[in-house]
Amino acid sequence: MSKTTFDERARSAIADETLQRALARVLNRFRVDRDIALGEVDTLRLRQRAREIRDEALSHLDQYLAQFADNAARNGAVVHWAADAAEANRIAVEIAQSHSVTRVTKAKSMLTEEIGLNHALEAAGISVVETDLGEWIIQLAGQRPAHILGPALNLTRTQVAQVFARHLGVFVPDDIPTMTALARRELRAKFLEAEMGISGANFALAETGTVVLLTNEGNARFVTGLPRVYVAMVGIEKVVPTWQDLAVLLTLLPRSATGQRITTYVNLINGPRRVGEADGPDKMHLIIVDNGRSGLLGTPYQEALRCIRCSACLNVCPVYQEVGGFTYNAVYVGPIGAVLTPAIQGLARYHELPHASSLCFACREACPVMIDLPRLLLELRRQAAEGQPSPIGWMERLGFRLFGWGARQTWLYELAAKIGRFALRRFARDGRVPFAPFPLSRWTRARDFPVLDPRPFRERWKSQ
Amino acid sequence: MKTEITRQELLARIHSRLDGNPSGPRTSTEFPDQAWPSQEEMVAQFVAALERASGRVYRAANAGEARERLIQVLRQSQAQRIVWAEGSSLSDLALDSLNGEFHMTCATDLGNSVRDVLAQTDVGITGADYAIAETGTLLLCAHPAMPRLLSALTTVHVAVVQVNQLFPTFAHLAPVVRKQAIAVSHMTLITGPSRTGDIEQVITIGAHGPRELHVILRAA
Repeated sequence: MSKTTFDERARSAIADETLQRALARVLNRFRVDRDIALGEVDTLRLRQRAREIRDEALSHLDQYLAQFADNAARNGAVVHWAADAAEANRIAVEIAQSHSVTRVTKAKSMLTEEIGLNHALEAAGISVVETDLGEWIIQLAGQRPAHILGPALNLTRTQVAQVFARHLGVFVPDDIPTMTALARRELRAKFLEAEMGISGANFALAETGTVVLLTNEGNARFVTGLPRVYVAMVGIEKVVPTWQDLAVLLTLLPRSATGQRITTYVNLINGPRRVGEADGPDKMHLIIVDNGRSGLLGTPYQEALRCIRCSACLNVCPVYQEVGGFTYNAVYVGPIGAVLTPAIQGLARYHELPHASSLCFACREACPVMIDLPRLLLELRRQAAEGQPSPIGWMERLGFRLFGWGARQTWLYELAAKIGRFALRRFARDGRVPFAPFPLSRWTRARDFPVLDPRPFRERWKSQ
Repeated sequence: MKTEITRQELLARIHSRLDGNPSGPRTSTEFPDQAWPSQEEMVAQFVAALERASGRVYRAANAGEARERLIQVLRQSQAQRIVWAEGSSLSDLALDSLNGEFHMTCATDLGNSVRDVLAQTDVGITGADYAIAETGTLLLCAHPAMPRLLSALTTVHVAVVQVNQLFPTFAHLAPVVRKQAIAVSHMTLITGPSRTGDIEQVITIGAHGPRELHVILRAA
């Protein structure tokens, strides 16, 4: 974990012009496409249904998980249960070792990022190759994903070409089709030689024990179809009761994510190869992972487990748009990351994240499963403030008590406002206040303060 | 294998957390808007949606037209090696007789070498089990005559689909495929050729799977 603070990382992200251009381009595109795709369906009704589906699954999670596991076992998968990251990693390594696996290919999975699976496999002498193009790029570069959907969207084509050149030892022109073709060649060889494939799961269908995977590149088809062993890692919250429910979520997820009506590929996996089938894995293992999730059940944070990882909240967030993914210094970033990361991995370590929001409610409006993100962020802030009485705590409390009293005395409020308006104008440049004295300096350090109108609203209202 | 948390322990942990915290009843388990458009509407939707996803769609009025179109696609692809999977929409196209002009193999004749052959195959020809109009999507089930990698490892995927296989949306299809789900090990929904936007969000076709998807939509 880095020693820098959120503010320090945010400052360097804002100063990074390349990153700023990338963020503006990427997020704008996601937002425009999303609006078009959602405009074609009855979005509000679908969102309400999606929310009910996720709540139904979560409020009977033990039953649906048992149903999913039973059906998956009936389909021929071997089911494992893991309480935390260490157990999940140990199980995955033991599966690999018991099948004499030395080479693993992976489809993008946030859960395996969260538990650090690649390190655990590599520590056991097993090579791991990420096969989603963006994920492969950041694996080569040794970075964390900057975005849930596009892990390398913070990098320009030139930077990607440099990563390829450095790690593959060949000259690579910074032409996107050429680089994509190079990745196709390199990774095709990896797909064919891997003995084990690992994926996460977008959904775990309880009704039939089906693992559902969405990709555009098709890498999940190779990861789940080519090696002789296939392992799916499933977070306990991923369960969806029925195929009808899946239809609702499948309509909303790609539209909310990239603005596609559907991803190019959706894999519905029901166990290993059956008798007579020409291809597919001989063995399928399922690892069902808790890793802190069950601790959110029955708390105000339970609704955060509705999340289907579409990243719409990242794409609309004015804070994410300015600071990008790395500033969060966490696996899950953006508004949902600012909730999930401290809620699951500990508020003490991630106490800064709930403050990475202007509470503008854009995330709440965008969320396809209607998670009340601003409320959860406030709840986390409250919890953090209670846990750590800061030295300015009493000053702040006194200040607000004085303000509360003063604001109720009309004459005092009007006098103070008059002084404020007059005083601020002395610091104004072109209608903005770029610098103001303490305590307003804490505001103007980060952004301009607007010049107040010489006639307050109350006066204008009265003269109407 | 060393014992980890047991199923009972984890489920009990979850159950105790949920105790006394029931959710409200669900208002509906139905998908909204279950209307059935006409077949012509569905065809138009399918074509528009698949073309938007960079797939190519051709309409054929009968078996002869479907066969002609297939031959054209194969010629354009300059394929060295072609593998096809038996299916009802292909059964009357006499694909065997194309062996003179093209190097064609039926998937069921590949035996244990499926993987190795497919890795060297340019074009895969398949039918489809269902198609979805709203999104321009094909649904393919894995079965002994239909290797799942046939539509993945090949550079060009050609699918011959009958109009009566069209469903309006995935929601309409879900109750049907749900019944089949446990009978097959794997299903894939396919909408267009493989694509990526992972570098600068520039859409690039042919990331890992087929670079081209051709769908010949034939009258039933």
